[in-house]
Amino acid sequence: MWFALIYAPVVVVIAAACIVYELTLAQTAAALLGGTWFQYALTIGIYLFALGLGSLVSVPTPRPAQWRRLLQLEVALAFCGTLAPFAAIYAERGLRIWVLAADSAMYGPLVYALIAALALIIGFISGMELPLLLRLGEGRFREGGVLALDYLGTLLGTAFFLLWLLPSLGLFGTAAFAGLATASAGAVACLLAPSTERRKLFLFTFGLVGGGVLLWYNRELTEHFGRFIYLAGANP
Amino acid sequence: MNFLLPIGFLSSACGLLHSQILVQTLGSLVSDAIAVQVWTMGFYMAGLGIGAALAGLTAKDRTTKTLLLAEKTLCFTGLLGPVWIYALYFLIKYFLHEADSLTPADAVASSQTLLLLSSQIPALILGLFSGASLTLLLRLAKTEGTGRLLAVNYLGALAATLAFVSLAQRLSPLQLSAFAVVLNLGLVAYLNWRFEPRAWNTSALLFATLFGLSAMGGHIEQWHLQSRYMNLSEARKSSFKDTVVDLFMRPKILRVQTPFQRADFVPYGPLDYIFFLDGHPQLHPRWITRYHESLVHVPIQYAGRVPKRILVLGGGDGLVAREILKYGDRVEKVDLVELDPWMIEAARANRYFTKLNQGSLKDPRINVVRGDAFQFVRLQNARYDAIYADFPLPFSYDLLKLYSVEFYRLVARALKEDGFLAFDSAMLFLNSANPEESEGFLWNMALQNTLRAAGFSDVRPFMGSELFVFARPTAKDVGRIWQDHGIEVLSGGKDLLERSFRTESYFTERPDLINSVFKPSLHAARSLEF
Repeated sequence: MWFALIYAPVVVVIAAACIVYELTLAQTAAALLGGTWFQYALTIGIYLFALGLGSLVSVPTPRPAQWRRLLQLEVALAFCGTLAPFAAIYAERGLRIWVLAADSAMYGPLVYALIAALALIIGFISGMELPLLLRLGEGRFREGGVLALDYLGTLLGTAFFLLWLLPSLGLFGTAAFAGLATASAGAVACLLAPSTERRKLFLFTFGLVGGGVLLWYNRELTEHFGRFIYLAGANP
Repeated sequence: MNFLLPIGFLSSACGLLHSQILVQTLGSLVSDAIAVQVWTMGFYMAGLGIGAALAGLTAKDRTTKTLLLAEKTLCFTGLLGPVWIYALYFLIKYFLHEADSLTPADAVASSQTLLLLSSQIPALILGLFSGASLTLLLRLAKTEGTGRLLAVNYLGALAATLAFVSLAQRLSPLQLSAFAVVLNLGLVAYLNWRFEPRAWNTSALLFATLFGLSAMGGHIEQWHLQSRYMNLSEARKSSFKDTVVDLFMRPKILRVQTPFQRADFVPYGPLDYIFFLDGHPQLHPRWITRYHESLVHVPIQYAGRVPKRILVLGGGDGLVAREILKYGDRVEKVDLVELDPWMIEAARANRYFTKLNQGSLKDPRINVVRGDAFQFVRLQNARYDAIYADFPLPFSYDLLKLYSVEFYRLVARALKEDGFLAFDSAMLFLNSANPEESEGFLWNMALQNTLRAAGFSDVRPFMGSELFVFARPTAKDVGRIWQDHGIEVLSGGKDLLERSFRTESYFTERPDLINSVFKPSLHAARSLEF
């Protein structure tokens, strides 16, 4: 019983964080390329595709390795998801300076490819996670129970993102917050895992501190990325 | 096991497609596009979760029967979803909107909320039965098939997203829902043939409903358009039944679905039309002249000289260009950036527009660029004497970008030292006795703070047919006496300028309200129509 009580929020938070990472990326794409509606639809499409791909690949994990694999994926997810918008904006600046001057026809497609690749990576990781989460919860939940929690998390993530995170924390604060949430879920998952896996706790503590620092410097980050990277050098 | 994969694919594709069609239908009726997407997808996904869990409780020996039932329900809900929303829209408009006890703004807000929430019933049903299908399919696939089935389930969702993104701009909600239902009926027929070869009654009923609705589709769509633009106080004079019937008889409203928006031409008198984009009036025979004359000429009077190089952002209808061209050769070059290729083409070739803009877009001084205004100012190098922005009001995140601090910074950079920016502000009028209580206060402050943060220290709202904004980087006095630059102004130049001062500026510093691409401020103008 206590397992289910602790495991359920972990599943919800992971699903919510995944969709928040993707929506953050979609908003970044909209800022870089325009067409908000299209960017959101496309990013969600890529996310769903990557989820499918990830869950397909995830099949053969043997039982004893499942917890270790889950925690590894958590670390990767927190890292890639949080840093994706920063990476996208930096990389776009590079493309703008190096590609746009030389060949403007390539600029748009390259930025699209960049965003798609990031969305694919995040989606792939969360896709590998889902069947793992289903199997770790097997026998402790009713049939369809973990799946329901996963959908609930996605719903909460979407609503949270649009109604609270993006308007009040902004894009970079949102990325940092999702990083914090993922690291917390990872830390809790560590406590559920067999004792050999608990050494990973320090990694998640590290992630928590990192996310906290990013959130603390939210304003400076927004100023730096919004003004000096995003706008500077626009006209070479 | 393998025959389950295409079923899983189609089942999830149809579920998502049906729910996106609800989003599309609602999106054209409720001004807050974000709320539409969030609530509909939210209810759909909540339904998925609950459905997935509930299906776990069904009897194991009835799995295939329940699956067939779930798919039939999906089909039926998808088929009736848009019609349900159209009917609700009419009922809410007829009975609630302008109810005597409500102020107009409250009536719009409560009508929209009521429509948004009552339209979630089909979204929830779709979610419930899609989620149930997935659990039942997972049960049939056993543990080994979990990964593969989940994979095709997500692939189906991807296919639905892509189909929706590419078709939504070409088809109306009813056409799109017919498409989704045909796919879904294919699935029902297959399941029926495979698992229940002797019970075809409900499937036959579904087919019949589909054919009936398809035949009626055009009429339903037109009826809905008529209810959208119906004159309510007139409609109230006749009985409810007469109103419903009358909507089938009225002069036809023409709707064009462009790649970016819905353009409606609503008959006005026997010969004229009012032109709407996404339900917001753009060109109305009555106020068309004064709007564009205020926007173009008043700022030139304020600045005291005729600009040589001009940038027009939006304004693909060519009416701003027409006013600019009145200055003759003193204007050297105008760059006009318009997103919608349909708009450019129509403004050049369609009689309705060319009569109004006098063929302005064919003038050699007007350089029409098809593209996104934001990207244009971000990636270009020229400097302008004047920049006019003629955008739709910021009803969505997408449009909010064009009112963001980043955008205004780029615009400020594209201006020459003594250049100016002028635009239709979307500022709502403030009640001067008590501005903080006014409806548009937050958005008003957001816009002014955003402009100032972007380096416009001179921000002046001015009055025309509505509120406009004149902004420039350095504060200077504005021209107060009408200078005749040798142009003719239909609504009277002196009058136009004098009227422009009939508003007062009110400003408090609120850095928290600055609207940024990276932190959108949600205090956008709300639609005042329903």
